[in-house]
Amino acid sequence: MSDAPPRTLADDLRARSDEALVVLLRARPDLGATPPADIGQLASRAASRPSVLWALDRLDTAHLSTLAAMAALEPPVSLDGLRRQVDADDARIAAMVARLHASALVWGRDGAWHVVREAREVLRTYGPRGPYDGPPPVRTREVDDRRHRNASAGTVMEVLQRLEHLLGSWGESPPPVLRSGGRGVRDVRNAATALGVTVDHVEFLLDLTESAGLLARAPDDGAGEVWAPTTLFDTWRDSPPAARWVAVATAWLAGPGRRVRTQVLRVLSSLDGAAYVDAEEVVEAVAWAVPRADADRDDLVRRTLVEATRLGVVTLDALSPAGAGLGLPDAAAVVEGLLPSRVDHVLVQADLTAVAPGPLEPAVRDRLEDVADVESRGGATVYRFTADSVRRALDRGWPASEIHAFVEQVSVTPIPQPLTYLVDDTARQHGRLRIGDASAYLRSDDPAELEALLADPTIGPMLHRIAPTVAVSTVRHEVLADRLSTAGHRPVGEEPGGVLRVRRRDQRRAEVVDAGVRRMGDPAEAVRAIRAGERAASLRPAGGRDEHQGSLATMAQLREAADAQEPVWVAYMDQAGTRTERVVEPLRVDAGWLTAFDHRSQRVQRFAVHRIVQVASAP
Amino acid sequence: MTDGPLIVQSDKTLLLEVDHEQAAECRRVIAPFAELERSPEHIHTYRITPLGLWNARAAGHDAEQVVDALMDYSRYPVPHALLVDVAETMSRYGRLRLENHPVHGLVLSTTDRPVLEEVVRAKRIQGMLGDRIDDDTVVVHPSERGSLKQALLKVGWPAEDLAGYVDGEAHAISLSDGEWHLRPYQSEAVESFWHGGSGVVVLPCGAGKTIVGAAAMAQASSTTLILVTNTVSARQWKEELLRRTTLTEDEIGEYSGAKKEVRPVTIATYQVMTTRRKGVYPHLELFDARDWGLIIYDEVHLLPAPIFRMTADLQARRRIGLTATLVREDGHEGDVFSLIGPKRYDAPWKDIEAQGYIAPADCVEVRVTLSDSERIVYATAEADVRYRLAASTDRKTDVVERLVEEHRGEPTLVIGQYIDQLDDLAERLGAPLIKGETSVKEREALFAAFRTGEIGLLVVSKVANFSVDLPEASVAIQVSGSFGSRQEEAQRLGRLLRPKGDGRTARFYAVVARDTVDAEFAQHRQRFLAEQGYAYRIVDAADV
Repeated sequence: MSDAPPRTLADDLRARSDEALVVLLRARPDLGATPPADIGQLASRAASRPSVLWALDRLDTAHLSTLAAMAALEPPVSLDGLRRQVDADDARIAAMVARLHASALVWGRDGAWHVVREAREVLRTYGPRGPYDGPPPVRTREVDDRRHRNASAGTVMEVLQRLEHLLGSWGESPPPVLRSGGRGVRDVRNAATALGVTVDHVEFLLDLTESAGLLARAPDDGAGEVWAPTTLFDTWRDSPPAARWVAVATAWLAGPGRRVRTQVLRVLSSLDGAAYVDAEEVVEAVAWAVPRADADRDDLVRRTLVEATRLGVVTLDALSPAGAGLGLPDAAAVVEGLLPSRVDHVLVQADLTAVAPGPLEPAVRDRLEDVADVESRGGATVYRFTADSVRRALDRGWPASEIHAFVEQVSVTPIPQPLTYLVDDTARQHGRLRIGDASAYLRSDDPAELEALLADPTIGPMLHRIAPTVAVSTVRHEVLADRLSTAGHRPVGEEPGGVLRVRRRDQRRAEVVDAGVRRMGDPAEAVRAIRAGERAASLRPAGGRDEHQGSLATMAQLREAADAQEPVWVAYMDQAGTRTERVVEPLRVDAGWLTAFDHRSQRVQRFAVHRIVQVASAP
Repeated sequence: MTDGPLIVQSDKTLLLEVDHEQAAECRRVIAPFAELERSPEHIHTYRITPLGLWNARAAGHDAEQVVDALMDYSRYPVPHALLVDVAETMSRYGRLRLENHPVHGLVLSTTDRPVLEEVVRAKRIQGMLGDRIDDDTVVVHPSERGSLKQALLKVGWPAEDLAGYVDGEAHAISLSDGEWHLRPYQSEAVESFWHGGSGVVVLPCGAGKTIVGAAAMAQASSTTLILVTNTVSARQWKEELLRRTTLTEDEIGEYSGAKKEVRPVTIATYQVMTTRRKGVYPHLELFDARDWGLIIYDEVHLLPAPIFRMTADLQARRRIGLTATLVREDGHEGDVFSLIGPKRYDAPWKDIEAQGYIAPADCVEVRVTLSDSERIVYATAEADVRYRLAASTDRKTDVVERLVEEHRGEPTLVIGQYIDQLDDLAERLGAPLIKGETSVKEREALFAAFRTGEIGLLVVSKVANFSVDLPEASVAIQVSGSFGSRQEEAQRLGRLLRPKGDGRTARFYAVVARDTVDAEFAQHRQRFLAEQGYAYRIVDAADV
């Protein structure tokens, strides 16, 4: 080491001991990310604008102000000159300068300091502000320890339940991702109602799950995307509560605004378990510690306090026991100590409820949620057995005997008789009526013949026997008939109602358009048609006007009539442009066609809806 | 974390484990602020509501006590937000007070100026207020005392009414000497009521609410108006007052459909008070007929809406409400709180039960299966007649006959909804039938005969059941229809089936048709009864 004052930053660095260089690389890790070739390279990195800015961002108000004061003075800066600018005692000033020197924002030696050029430029506009001896004070009040632990653990449990409930329900019916990439207002509002919290609170929970990787966008069956829990959610859900909470709380802490958040917790942790009295004082303290943080820093601090309270990191306005453990390697163990242990049993009561007197083992919970509905959550969970919930379990493949066995196994109290009856009654009615798909059926009065077909390897696999004399197939009936005839069988077509379908000789003829003189039909039929016409005319609504192109209103009216099975009066314009009025009883409306019983022809007929020009009710 | 008997849920229900050693102690502590909702065999459910918390405030409990109770007895940590909410809700009561100002008369004053500023600006309240006397006080039109309290409750700032009462016309009443004494809880109830001014006394069925009323009258020693649910109840009140107080026959008047007597003590029915003719209530003037010093509302939870409106104008008179439950089917709990007053006394139910005044009955649901032809008719019937079809199946008659036979010698009631079914049953069983068209006189005669044991079996319709207090029985068989509203059902059941002198349990049979809407309704009923702590069994008709 020479006694001559260093002339450059590189000179200064070159003169430092190995320990001092280690201190520098610790304070500014970017300098050593890839080891510099020599001191010259280290010095030029340390003087580069990005690196200097990074280092400035990490200075608190006292150091930043001191550095700014030094930058404003003509170099080399002496302690005397600095003393006039900085309102602190000599020892403090010396200590601050030493720290700035250690971080290589300042070089030179006692009495002759230089501020690195980039820092000087950045700080030109920064007016020094104090205080220099530490952050502005945060007034505190004492918090009852027991209450504090209690509130902290209560909130931790609550937030976990809310997250599970929220993601569980979004897993069952995932809401669509908006075109803008966000979440639908209505979906969020529904979730808020379900959880009994504000919309803002739900937004927070959703952001939280997203940053913890528990919720993500997933492709929908259709073209779009939906919000759905991730596979990580399943692992998360089955891990112990403490680990679950630590996972989300850590994700929250590491999310955007991390520096400010960490700083907030640091300020709170400096209060030694006491509560702050005024949140604005916390804002001030954080502002002092990270003066160069983003423009919305103060709002972010306020927001952090709100979010931390929702999460249970802060309770009763103080850093909670759970929150204090965050970041520690044994964070989960700390939280674990606060939480109740799991239970694996329920109490079943005669009013068909089952109460789990604590957090349930996931395996038991999942099965219980199959057979019963959750009625209330909290420290305990109240489940209710209903006919619907039991039916759901049956639908999911539980046999009644297994429901009985499961309830018996998890209940510590005797099973009340009404529950046994409920399960048996529901099971008895379950699956009495069955439905399936079929395109064709085979009927034979001789069961043996069907048996033979089922045994035939070319035909059997296409058939499903549903009664001794009936088999159905999902294969179209033309195809099935074809296969059957290839195999040497001769099935005969059947009309609905069981009448044989008669095959006419297949000869094409053109239709005669103009039949000339029509033959008189059955006079009784004609009279019926006339009467029907009369009735239709009498029902013609006064002041009704024809509309073209069957409107939506027309469709709606017809559908309503079809549902209510009520006749309606219609005016119909046929292909030739002839307008008729008739009374019909709609059976169904689909694909632009009305199928209805027509009083005029006394038959079921199809009418093109767009040709129906007027509809009215026909009492 | 304690190992307490209480679990606090996020939806503000409290689950109390009945068999826990601290259960009784915990129940006493939470009763002032939480309403008992369900009481099945293992875990009872209480609910914390703003009204419940305000009731507790009115009774002198503070938020600290409530929070402490939750923390002391809770098995698990209580969510912080819930505790904060409790404290905030409770602190809302009493920031506004109705007082009597020496110069200006009735005034609304506050200890928290922003609250007053908020309410004087509220649209529905503005019109009820007069001049501002100073920053913290505003004049109230005396006629709006009740409506103002209702409106303030709706905006979430319930007022404490300290404006006092008129004494009313004095009339000497004292409790009679005799072979009886007020039970300790009864005198406590009267004391709390009198101290609080006006309010509601909650006592379980059979705990002697009428006697509390009589004791309140003796305390007031003034003319009294008693409002009761129906004529028979009016006569029972009269009998009880004659027995328990120094009042004589001609001091007590009945004001009902049949008689219109106005005497120093007048008992009126809700029905006559709410009779409307040409849009007006002709009997409303009864409220002003005398200078009443006390108004008693029996069965407050059934109080009809028009009576509330009338009561709004009676805020200067002392009012006492008597009921077994504050839960109202119509959700008008808030009006009871504002207009009659806060809860002044809630009996420790368990203690009374321990003294043997209330005991659960044995409820049995008997299931019958419809015949195949009935099933076809049922399946093809319109939805609105299905219940009737299922409920009045012939299969039930058979079962009822067997049940009656089994309990021969015990006072038995058969209850139903459909008159043809009941006509048929009465004929088959050879028992008298009471239905809507039966006159009050005939009804009372039959009930009296039933009480003395002269008649052992009565068939009653739902109509009769609605307007009349049924006599005690040890067996009741319901063949169709429910007992009306849910709490009414439990109440009637309780009244119907008092524990018998010889310790024999009372029986309640409900005969229902399997796999029909009848069974569905029964399930609701069954749930409600189970919630009330009644044991419930199901048996097949074949096993009766």
